[in-house]
Amino acid sequence: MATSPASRPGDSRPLSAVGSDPAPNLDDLLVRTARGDDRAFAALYDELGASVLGLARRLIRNPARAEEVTQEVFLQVWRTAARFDPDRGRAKTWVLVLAHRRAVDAIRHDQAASDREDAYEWVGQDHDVVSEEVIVNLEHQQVRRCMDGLTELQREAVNLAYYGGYTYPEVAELLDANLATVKTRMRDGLIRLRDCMGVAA
Amino acid sequence: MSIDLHSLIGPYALGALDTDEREDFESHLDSCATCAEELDGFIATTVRLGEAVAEEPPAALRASILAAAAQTSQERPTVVALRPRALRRRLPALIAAAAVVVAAAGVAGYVAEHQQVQDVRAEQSNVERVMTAADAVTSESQLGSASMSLTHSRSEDAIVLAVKKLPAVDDKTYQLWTVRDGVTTSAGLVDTSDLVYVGGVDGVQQIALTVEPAGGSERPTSLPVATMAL
Ligand SMILES: [Zn+2]
Repeated sequence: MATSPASRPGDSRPLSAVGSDPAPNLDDLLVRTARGDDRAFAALYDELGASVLGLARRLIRNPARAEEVTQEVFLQVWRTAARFDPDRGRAKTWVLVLAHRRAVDAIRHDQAASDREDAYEWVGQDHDVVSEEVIVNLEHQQVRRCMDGLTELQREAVNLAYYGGYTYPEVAELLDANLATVKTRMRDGLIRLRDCMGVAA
Repeated sequence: MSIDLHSLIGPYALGALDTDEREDFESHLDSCATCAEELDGFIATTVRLGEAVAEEPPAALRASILAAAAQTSQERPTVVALRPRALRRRLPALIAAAAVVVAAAGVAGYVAEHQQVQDVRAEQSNVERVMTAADAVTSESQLGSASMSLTHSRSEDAIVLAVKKLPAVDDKTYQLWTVRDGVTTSAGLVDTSDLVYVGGVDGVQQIALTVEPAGGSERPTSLPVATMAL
C-alpha cells in the first residue's frame, strides 16, 4: 500500500507510532481519496487527525466543539479532495491550512452568536491565559526553541493570531500596539521562525 | 488603494485577516510575485506551528468521521464552485456587475485556490460562454438578505447560478436540484455564497435549493428554500 519509500524532508509525524511501515505518502493518499478510496481517506486521517484536532482544540478550547470542527474539516477534505493537485502543493499543507481557517471561522461565528446574546467586550478577556497555555504546551522541541528566539512582541503576535484566532486589529488592541507595528511583527516573526526551522520556501 | 497590501502578508499567513481583507490580499497575490513567493515559506512555517500542538484524537472521532464520509458524496467534476474573484477579474466589467453578485466565500485559502486554478480556467470558459451568450436570460431573486441570480442560455444548454449570503446552516448544507417533469436530479452542493455552473439542462423547467444533511442527499429530504423557473 505505501508506495513511497522516499521520505520527504520536513515531514515530521509528531504523535504517530514509530512503526515498521514507512510513512505513507500523504499526497498520494489525498489523490486516492479524491477517487473515493475510503481506505486512503482513513490512512490520511490517521496521519493528520492529531494535528487537525490539536489545532482545533488550541483555537476553540471547547473540546466537543473542537471535535466537531475536526470532523467538518475531514468531511470537507473528503468532499473536495478532487481540487487537490499534487503538482502544486502538499496534502499536509492543504489540510492544515483548511483546518486553521475552519477553526478560526468557527470561533468567529460562535463569538458573533454569543456577542448577540450578551454585549460584553470579549477582546482581552483571556489573552494572558491563552499565550501561557500555548507556550507550555508546545511540545515540538524545534518549534519551541524557535519560538524562544522571537522577540516578545513577535512571539505574542504570532501566538495570539495563530493559536488564539485573533485578527491583527484585535492583536494590536491586546498588545497595545499600533496596527502597522503588529503587521510588521507578524511578518518578522514568521521570517525568523521560517529561518530557524529551516523551512524551504 | 488606501492600504499597502504587501503589509498584510504576515496577518494573512497567520489567519489574522477578516474576510474582506483576506479577499483583498488574495487578489494581490495574483499580481505580486514577491508576496506569493514569500507566502510559500510562511505557510510551510505555520504548518509546523500546527503540527506542534498535535493531540491524539479519541478513537470515537475516527469512527464518526469515517462513517460520515461513507454517507457523503464527493464533489462532482461537472459542478465546480468557482472562486468569484477569479471570474470577476476576467469577465467584462458590465457582465460582472450584472451577474456576479457573489461575495467572498468558502474556506478555500490561497493554497487550495492555487490548486484550483486549472479547474477554474476550464470551468470559467463555460461560465463565460453562458454569461455572454446572445440568448442568456438572467433572473434575480431575493430571500431576506440573501440573493440568487440565475442565468440560463438555451444555446449553451446550461445555467449559471450565483448565490450570495445564504443563511448559514451549521452542520447541514445547501443542495441544488434540477427539476424535469417533477423529477429531481442533484446538481451538487452549494456554499452560502457560491457560483455554480450546470450543463445539460435541456428539459429542465426549474431549479430548487434545499437544505440537506452534511454531504448532501440522493434526493431532496426537505421542502425547497427557493425555486427558480428557467
Ligand atoms: Zn505584495
